[in-house]
Amino acid sequence: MQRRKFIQYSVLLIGSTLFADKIKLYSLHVKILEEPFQTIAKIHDDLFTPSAGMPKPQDFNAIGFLEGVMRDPRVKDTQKEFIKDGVSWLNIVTNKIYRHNYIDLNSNQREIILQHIASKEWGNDWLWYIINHAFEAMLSDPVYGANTNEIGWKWLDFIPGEPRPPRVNPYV
Amino acid sequence: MYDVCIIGSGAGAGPVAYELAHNGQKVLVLEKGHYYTREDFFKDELAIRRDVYTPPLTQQQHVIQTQNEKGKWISVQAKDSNWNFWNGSMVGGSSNLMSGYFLRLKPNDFKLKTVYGPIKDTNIVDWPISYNDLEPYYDKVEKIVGVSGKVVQHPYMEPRSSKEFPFPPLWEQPISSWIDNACKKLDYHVFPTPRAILPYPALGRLGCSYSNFCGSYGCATGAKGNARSALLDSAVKTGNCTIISDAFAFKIDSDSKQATKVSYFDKNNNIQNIQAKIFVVACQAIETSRLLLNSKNVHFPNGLLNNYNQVGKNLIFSAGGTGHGTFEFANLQKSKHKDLMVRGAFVNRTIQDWYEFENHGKKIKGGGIDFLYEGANPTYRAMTQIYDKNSKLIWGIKLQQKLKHAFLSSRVLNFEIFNDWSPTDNCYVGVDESVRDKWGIPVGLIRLNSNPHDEMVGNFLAQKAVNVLKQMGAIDIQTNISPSPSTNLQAGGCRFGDDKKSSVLDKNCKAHALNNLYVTDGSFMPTGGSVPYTFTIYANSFRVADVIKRRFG
Repeated sequence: MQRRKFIQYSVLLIGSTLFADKIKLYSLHVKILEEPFQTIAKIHDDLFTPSAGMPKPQDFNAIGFLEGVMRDPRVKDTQKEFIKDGVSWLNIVTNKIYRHNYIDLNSNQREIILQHIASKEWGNDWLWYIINHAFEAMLSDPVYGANTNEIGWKWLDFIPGEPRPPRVNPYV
Repeated sequence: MYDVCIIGSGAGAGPVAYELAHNGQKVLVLEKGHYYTREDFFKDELAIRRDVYTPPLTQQQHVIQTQNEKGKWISVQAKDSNWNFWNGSMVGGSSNLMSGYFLRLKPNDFKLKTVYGPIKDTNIVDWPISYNDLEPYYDKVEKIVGVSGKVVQHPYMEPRSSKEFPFPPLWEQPISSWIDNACKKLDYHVFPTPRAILPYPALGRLGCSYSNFCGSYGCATGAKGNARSALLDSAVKTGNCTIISDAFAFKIDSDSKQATKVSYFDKNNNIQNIQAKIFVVACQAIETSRLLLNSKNVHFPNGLLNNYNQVGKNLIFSAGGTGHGTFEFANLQKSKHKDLMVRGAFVNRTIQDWYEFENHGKKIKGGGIDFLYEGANPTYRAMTQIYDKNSKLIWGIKLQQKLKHAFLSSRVLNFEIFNDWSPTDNCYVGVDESVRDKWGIPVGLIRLNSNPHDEMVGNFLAQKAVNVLKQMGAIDIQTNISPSPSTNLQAGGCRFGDDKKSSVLDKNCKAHALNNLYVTDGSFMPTGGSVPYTFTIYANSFRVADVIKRRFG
């Protein structure tokens, strides 16, 4: 399958004036209007359905963190493209099987689709990246704008090392 | 004009800067990376995951060649692959990020060919110096850099001039005594791993804060004996040592007998030139060879010191691999659960009983085993849980239960195997003229090749480590011995030796071809031994520093 060209997307800042002084934060609080965030937010909900006490993806700002990943110069462009393209490929699969995009399927259909793409090499790799960045959101220092109130650390009784980073990217 | 210009600021550079600055020479250190101090280091897993201490591969990279199943050599640019051979571009180099396992080479490591004989398709040679030549400098490193540990006799214990380490062992995990008990039952000899970490304030530095994040992280207390904290800070305080950071040295000029100047790009990308009486190259093995190969002139048309096409040849890494076993709380008495959840302390256990062993009636070189807990990095640990036993991706309740279990009801003990990476004709550094870095300089080309013998040794050692884990009651024991290189353990490329046609440096690490150029990183090593290299690089750099000091009278 050919990787498609980058599809322009936009995000709407909620209360942008409120966050104006924190614009340098890694993660932004985004309201999703366009892809790939809309579909990936749904994937987050499906992969991390609250149970066993795990916080909800919204509670650790998984999608806002992913937006930061897509702007992060330290993340390879090919990886960013792959994350975006994966949404397109996912919807090609869902349209072929159910004639609807992923977000319009019911939960049983979505689970079947997840199982289906996980059995494919691209789908397995794509889900790996989605989970990887969601875990980064859940378990990185809250200074990056995710893991809100250390909710992920608290869930797993994780104690961070000291000293903790005082700000995002203090290394430049 | 400086007395000495050192290119690089890591383990190969620090001792030379320290010794010569304290001896009154005017020393200049050129470092490509930033000048971070301990106040700049935080326990920030995301920063480590994003490789913030190494150059972006889109700007500076390597070309890597590996052989496919049909025997054809395939090139790939690092930026398009998972390879990354950078290891810490900053003042102090990658020693900032080391774990500080400071194990000495053994006397036989200096004469592998003589003691164990040749191995097919390898270029193993003896060193031109012996263990006795280096021993005083191992001792010096233990005292100046600061090594903590406890001397315990074992079959391959190397001779020592000091009876004990200058610093006692670090705070140890309860599980360390479990390893001791298991080894006793197995009749294995286990001993505390010496570490270049101060257990308490000393040498003008703070002691370890037991933060639970050490290897791969910069040290915020200065307890870790990196080249900056342990050596360069002291050198600068003499007033005789200047460090220029963000300075990428790209060419060394020479006449037919001596190096004359080094050119570098400064932080504004302007070219600057430095003249010195003596030049020392210590950029880590791959970049040292690249710098020399890119430094062509009429006297050295194939690259500086490359008269006999030896620069870059016989690149070595560390062979071996890793493994682990899991301790399930459900299988243990409740009192043991608490033992397993202690954070911050070090496991620090090493076995070297098979530093040599018999294979088909022949004595061969073996290696060592180190035990350590799985790293504390939570994202990394979480990502190890995303597959089931059939290697199938999991999510939902299954994944969440597995995560909770991994973090709260079990603990993983890792082991690492270190054995010799045999030098071969097909493991070397070159330059790729068709791929340039952000300054337009040809990047290093790394051809990778390992010898099957090394993997066999690694698997032998791994089985011994598995025996220990089984004896301890671990479950889900797995090993991963691989022919892939350890990208952070690089040596070779500018061998030292007595024959100028088959080596680049003489036994004092001075270039055969020039009378004022030395190489003091791991490039000089013809073979690497079966321990991490930093301790030996430090010791050899102190040895070479003594040679250079004598030149200044």
